[in-house]
Amino acid sequence: MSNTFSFNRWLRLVGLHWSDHRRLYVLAIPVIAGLMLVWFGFVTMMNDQWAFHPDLQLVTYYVGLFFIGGLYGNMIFSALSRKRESIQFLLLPASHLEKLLCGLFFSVVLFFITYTLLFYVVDIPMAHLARSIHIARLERFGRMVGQSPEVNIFNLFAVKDGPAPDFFPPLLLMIYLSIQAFVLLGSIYFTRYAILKSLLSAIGIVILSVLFLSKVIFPLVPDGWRMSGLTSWSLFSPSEIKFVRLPLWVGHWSYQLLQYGLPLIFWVTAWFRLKEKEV
Amino acid sequence: MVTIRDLHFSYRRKAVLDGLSLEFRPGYIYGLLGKNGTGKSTLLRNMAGLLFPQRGQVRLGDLNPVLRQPAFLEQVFLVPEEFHFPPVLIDEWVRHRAVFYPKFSYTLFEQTLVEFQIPRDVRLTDMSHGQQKKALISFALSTNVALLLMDEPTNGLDILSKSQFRKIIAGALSDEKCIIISTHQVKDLENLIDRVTVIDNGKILFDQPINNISRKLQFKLSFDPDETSRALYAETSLKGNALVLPSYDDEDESHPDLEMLYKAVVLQGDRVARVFRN
Repeated sequence: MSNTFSFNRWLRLVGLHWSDHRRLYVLAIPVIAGLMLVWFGFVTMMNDQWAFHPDLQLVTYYVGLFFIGGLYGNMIFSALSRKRESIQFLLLPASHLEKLLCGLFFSVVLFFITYTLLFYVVDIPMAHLARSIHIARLERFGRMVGQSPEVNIFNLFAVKDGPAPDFFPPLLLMIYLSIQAFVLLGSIYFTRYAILKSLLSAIGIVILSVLFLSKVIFPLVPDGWRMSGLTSWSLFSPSEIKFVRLPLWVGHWSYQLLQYGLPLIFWVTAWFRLKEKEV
Repeated sequence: MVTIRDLHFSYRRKAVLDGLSLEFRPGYIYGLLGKNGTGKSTLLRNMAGLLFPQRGQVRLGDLNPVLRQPAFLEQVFLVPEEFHFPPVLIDEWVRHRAVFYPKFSYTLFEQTLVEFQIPRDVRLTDMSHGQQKKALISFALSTNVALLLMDEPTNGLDILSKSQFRKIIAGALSDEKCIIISTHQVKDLENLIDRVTVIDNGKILFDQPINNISRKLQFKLSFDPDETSRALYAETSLKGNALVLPSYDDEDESHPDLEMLYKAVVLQGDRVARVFRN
């Protein structure tokens, strides 16, 4: 069998991961569903009309995805922060690539599918319930039922419901993947308080980028010129308006890289870090 | 089989292994002795590919442990001093791990479990530490890997289990296997190991096969003051003085007392070394 990747060995690894974590996952599913149920119930009590509004569903979906997905991304390689478990993990006869892909299969693919299914399993009946309660309330106060808007289920994959309609898949989903990949990398990189150190590193990177822009890039730009977008600069003065833009393909590929490339970059870095890991 | 050349390893600035060179061959059980913190576990982890040498190299045949390739990992098993089990029954735990070891023997595993009296209907996390350790040792032996590394395997085992351990390990050795046991409880390895290697301050202090030790040294109890004065190492006891003496008659083999040998090597290293140079 190959020393880099063997599908059979990877399948065994998936089976092993499932066997070791099955109880945790089986418990986590009703907990996540319960939290969503409590949240939708709370909103329905507070404002039944708002409870089935697509914006609330969108916010609920993404807040849960970022928070739970981030925690899970941090957990998937958390064995590496505990000496006892990391010895067994690193010495298991499978390649680093197989171990990483097994982690990604659970944290990226299976988690996303399970979370999304759970969301809709709770969201659809709760949205209809909220509308029924809303209609009942309207009737009680003798108002026209026709005034009640229809249930509009938030569609994760529909561009029109996305937070940034120009992008598909939704930009928030790609941001989530980048953050989760960064947290996953942090859990391999740091041995203690991995999630806090990962978040601190991310904040540090953002601050350094802002400082780099303000202290290095902006002083190089002539007076009055401002950045407008990632690859464009503009000058608005009383006498003239100028606009400079890098070739279109540069902007296009920069956006593509930011949108799709970041998770890939973090996953590849995680693979290298896994290879270098010592216990 | 395992070749270690000029191995250097340090934690930050503290040198732990300082130019070690050793060779381990299949068909033998090696005892790695030394005080706590002298680098025994660090050496085992360098051999397993969990730590990377800062200088020098370790090889298992042609394989480099640092790469941790499946072809290498299939041939090595480390029983660490501390380990983790998920909350599953032993049969389920084994079923999902045995498939990674091409030479895994379910028959040997069954036999070892019976011999160690490990319950099958109790979750691994609900077992006592000693039972968990015996379960892990059973699995380790059944993998039939070429290189079996054991770090303080008798820690946490009761007296009966320690003698079971010695019996099982001795029975599991074959011409293709090399077993390296690191311990500071030297008594536990008596009648088991074929070669004694003592590490101190990152260096090899002593490295001899048991039959050589039996020929070159005598271990005895004596009240004779003359013998006591000639001893390489002496310890008083109610039964008489426990002595480690140089043996001048190659025919007269003595059964090595590992604890006494260890003390003699650590406290009178130069005098012991002179005996083996002759």
